Amino acid sequence: MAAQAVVGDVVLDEIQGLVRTGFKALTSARYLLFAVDDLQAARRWLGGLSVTSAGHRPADERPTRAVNIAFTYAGLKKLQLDQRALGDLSEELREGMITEHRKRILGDHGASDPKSWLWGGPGMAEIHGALLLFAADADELEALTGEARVADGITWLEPALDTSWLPGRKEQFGFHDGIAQPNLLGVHTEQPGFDVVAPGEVLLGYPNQYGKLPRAPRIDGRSELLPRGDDFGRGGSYLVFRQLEQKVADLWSWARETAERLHVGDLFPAAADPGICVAAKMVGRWPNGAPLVRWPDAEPDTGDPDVLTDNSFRYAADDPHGLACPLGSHIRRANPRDWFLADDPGEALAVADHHRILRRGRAYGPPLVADMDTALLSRAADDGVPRGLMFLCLNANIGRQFEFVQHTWMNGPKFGGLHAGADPLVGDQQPETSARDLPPSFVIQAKPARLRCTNIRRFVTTRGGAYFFLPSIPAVRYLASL
Amino acid sequence: MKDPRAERDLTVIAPIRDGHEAKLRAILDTIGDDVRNSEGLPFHELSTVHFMRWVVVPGFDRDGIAMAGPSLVLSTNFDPPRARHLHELVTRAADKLDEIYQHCEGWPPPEGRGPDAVLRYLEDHAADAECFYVGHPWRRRDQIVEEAALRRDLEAELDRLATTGRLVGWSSRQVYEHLRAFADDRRAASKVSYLPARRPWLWLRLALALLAWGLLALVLVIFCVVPLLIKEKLDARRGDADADAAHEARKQNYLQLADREDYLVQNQLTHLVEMKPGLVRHATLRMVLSLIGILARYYYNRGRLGDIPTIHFARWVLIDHGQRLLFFSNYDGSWESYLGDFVDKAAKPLSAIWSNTIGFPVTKALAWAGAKDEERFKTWARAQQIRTQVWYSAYPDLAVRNILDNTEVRRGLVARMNDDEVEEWLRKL
Repeated sequence: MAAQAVVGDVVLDEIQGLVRTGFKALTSARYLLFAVDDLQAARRWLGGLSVTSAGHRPADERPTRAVNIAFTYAGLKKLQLDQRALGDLSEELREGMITEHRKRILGDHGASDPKSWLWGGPGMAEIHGALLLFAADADELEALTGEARVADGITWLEPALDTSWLPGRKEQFGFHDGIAQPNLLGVHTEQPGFDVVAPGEVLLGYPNQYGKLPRAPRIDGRSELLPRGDDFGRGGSYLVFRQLEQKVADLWSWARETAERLHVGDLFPAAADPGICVAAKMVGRWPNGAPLVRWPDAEPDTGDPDVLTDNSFRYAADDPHGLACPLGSHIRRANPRDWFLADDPGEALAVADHHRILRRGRAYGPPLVADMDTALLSRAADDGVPRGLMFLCLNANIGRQFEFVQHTWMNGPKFGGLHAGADPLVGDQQPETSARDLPPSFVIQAKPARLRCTNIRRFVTTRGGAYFFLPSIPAVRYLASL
Repeated sequence: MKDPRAERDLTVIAPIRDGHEAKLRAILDTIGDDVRNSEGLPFHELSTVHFMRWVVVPGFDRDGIAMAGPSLVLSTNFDPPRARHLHELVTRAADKLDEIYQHCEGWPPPEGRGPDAVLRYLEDHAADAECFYVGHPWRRRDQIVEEAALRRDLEAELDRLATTGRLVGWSSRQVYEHLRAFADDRRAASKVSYLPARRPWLWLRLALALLAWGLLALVLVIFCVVPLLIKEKLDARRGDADADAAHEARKQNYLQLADREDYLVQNQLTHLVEMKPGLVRHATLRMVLSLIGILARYYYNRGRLGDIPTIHFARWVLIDHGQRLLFFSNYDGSWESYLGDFVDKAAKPLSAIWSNTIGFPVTKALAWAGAKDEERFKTWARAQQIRTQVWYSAYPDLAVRNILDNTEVRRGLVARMNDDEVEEWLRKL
């Protein structure tokens, strides 16, 4: 693509570290939401803040902590970013996550209605920003939090959003997570290839996958702190933040009931456990991470990372009809790759690459079963403790990337030529925006005929959320200087 | 080209009486807010209607001179014959038509307002579409609805086989035969007539398509190429100013549009643009639209326009003596996904159409660049979109692809199929 030829000039030292890495070496993390009270004091605090960049460091200087920061539209206004720059910020950021239309796009109704959120909902404390703290261990995180909290002119909002680190790189449902991610050209790799997208898909000020520079905020006047004197946007990104509660025991009991009702054990005899088979069909990977496209019959008993994080498969060639990995499964919806989006696999892949997001989520709450053993987890009773995912993702165009994926792929009842139902794992199964005369369902393609799992429930609910702008490091300094 | 037996689109443009626009908008918004339960306008009783909408098209002026006043546009997609559709409208929706059109110029006064007068009014104000597309051609509304019901019952029966454990050990052929017997019983029990899906010959379609392309190339080369390229260069200088204007207009426009979107799996779009002045632009536009119209009728008649698989019905209509271009479409999924398809799959033909209108992103040689400029194109499209006050779909839960699949499922029940075909058929359930 033309876009990829022009790249190579991404300035890593100007970019916040979260763009390059999820800081997975730093296993403790906490997100602090804040509001600005005293403008001058807040600016002084911001000016003194040591923001971790994406710049490469030698291996022997591994940091034990990292700090990143993001602002809501209200926050940027409060910090008196000028009118021109504010007007150039995206519609999604300016309007926020909880408009009536976005509630339909994101499936935030019923138990996920912003009215019942823990933070970010209507009438709740106005959020100006989020301070993202990462540390090598719990003690270090406490120390880091203590240092941050002494800031003047800032009110720290409740609740502080703590994360947890689950064994085996798993998320709360018990599946290996975070395997498939796009790589940014010039940030993660210098080589174009599969799963490599133009830096402008995440970073403002760089060419995107269409070979274009999207509109980005510029200030009126000039500042020597900003690139080209007025480029507030370059190196910045839009950060989507949602607190997603996962009903772990509910998901597994539904999978077991469904397996029994549809005689899954008889139809898929190679899978040792029919309940786990149904759940794996919902996800598209086995709990250990092995993709169903490669391992359709049973979970391979191996620790080989090439198997467990295998991301090299395609759908059009390897599994066009979903007999291994169901057409409506979670990973197929999250990225259909070379399938469905166009007849030609190459074209389909090109379309898919216009809708990628960089996921930076972490689990929260204790695991339902301490060691995340699948056999135990899949039979565990609910303990009533809230747990889930602090979903963070980065993109340059919230409407074309995050919201599109959420609405058209995850929650779209017609995705993949299907008729009804959403993503079985995380989707919105409410009928409000779905087909009303067909029950929400999850379809497992099989021989001799498909199995339709009706009565599917919603296993993930939204408990909080907001859209943020993650500025470049020069832009943070500029905000402090105003 | 026009075949009255095949005609499926009606556009009626009625000028709004001076000072009545606000009142009319209020009436339409009330109907539009609650189409399903709308009192007085029994949409579900209009058996000939697939889709229907009312839009208030604002007036416009150019350089301070009023060019056209506001008008009310009615657009329907219907089952032919047209006379039956019109008759149904004027008899079944008489009161509501009266409530709406009393705010339009020339509406017959109460004493002379019989069905005949109303019919004449609609006919007098009807406009032809320059270009018309159907994603699921040759299917009457009843067929679409009935085939969806057939699928529902087949799926339920298949569910029953699964929950009773009977799928274990069965071959695809056995499942198929079982469903066929089931459908035979069901058919005897219901009084459904299965309508045939008719298709013109492929060679005819191809020949016409090629002829049309050749014709267009010839005409364009002879008359339009040089002036167009010059005009394009001049337009390019305005590119950034146009983009800034569109960015602002989009901001103003977005909320009132989004307010009418994403309640169902289907959505609507009404889009209104001013033509660039001059005969060359006008001739080029008509040529491109009629070419796409021919292709839509004879070539793109299997569910896709270009490569876009989500359009139920779409049309372009020139209004105000060719000075403005209206675009109506009924499509599946969100605006963002629809416009994304425009950019990814149909940028050239769409650029060839809309590059003749004011403010469109800069093109090269008519069809290149333009809509490929993703962000500017989408911003322009939103900025030029107008609110659809009333919108009705007769089968709001069905995507184009579902409708096509449902027909295949029905046809498979009466076809002779080998084992591979049986497996393919079962995959559609």
